[in-house]
Amino acid sequence: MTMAALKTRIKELRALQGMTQEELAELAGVRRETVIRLERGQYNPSLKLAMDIAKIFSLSVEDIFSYEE
Amino acid sequence: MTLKKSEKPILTLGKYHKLRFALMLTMFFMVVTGLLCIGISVHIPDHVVIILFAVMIAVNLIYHVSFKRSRLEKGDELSELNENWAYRCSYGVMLFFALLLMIIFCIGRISFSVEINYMTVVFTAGSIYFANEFLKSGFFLILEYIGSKENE
Repeated sequence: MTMAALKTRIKELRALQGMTQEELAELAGVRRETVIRLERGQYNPSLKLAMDIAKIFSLSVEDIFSYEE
Repeated sequence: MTLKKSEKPILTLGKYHKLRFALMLTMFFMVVTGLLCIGISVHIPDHVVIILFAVMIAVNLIYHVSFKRSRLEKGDELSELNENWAYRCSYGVMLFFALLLMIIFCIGRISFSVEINYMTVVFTAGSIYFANEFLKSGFFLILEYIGSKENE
C-alpha cells in the first residue's frame, strides 16, 4: 500500500496575498516551522488547523489541500 | 521593576530544548562521574570533578534565568507530534543500549563488582533519568531541524 502525498496551495495563496510565513503562522496560531512543513507537504495537519487555514484564505479545505496517489 | 507575564520576551521551543539538552547532558555527566567514584571506585582527578561541577552550576543558572526572564513559546500540534516522536526515539535508544549491554555481558561472560549502597542506586537511577531526558531534547531538536530550514 502506498501513502498518498499531501499537496497544498498554501505557498501560492500566501504569495498572492503578500503574506509572510510568520504572518500566516500567527493568524493560524501555529509556529513558522509548522507553516514551512505544511508548504512542503511534509506534515498532515489536523482538521482544525486545515479549516483555520482555509478560513484565513476564505476558501474551502479542498481548495487548499489535496492528496496525490 | 518586574515585567508582566505577557510583556516578557518569548523563549522559543528550539532554544528551550537546546538549553534543556545542555543542562541534562551536564547533569548526566555529573551523575555518571559520581557513580564512577562511589559505585565502581574509579579514581577521577579532582580538577575534572570541579570543572564538571562548575559547568553544571553555570548551565543551571543560564537555564533558570532564561526561564525567569521570558515566557515559553506555546507549542502547536507539530511540536506535540515531534515531542511524541522524540520520546519514542529516546526510549528506543535506551532499550537498544540496555539490550546491547545485556548481550555483550552474556556473550562475553563479563562481570564486575559493584559496591551496592543507597548512593549507588540513586546515582544509577539519576544517570538513566538524565540520559533519557537529554536524548528526548536531542531528538526533538533533530526532528525540528529536519526540513524546517527554508527561506521565505
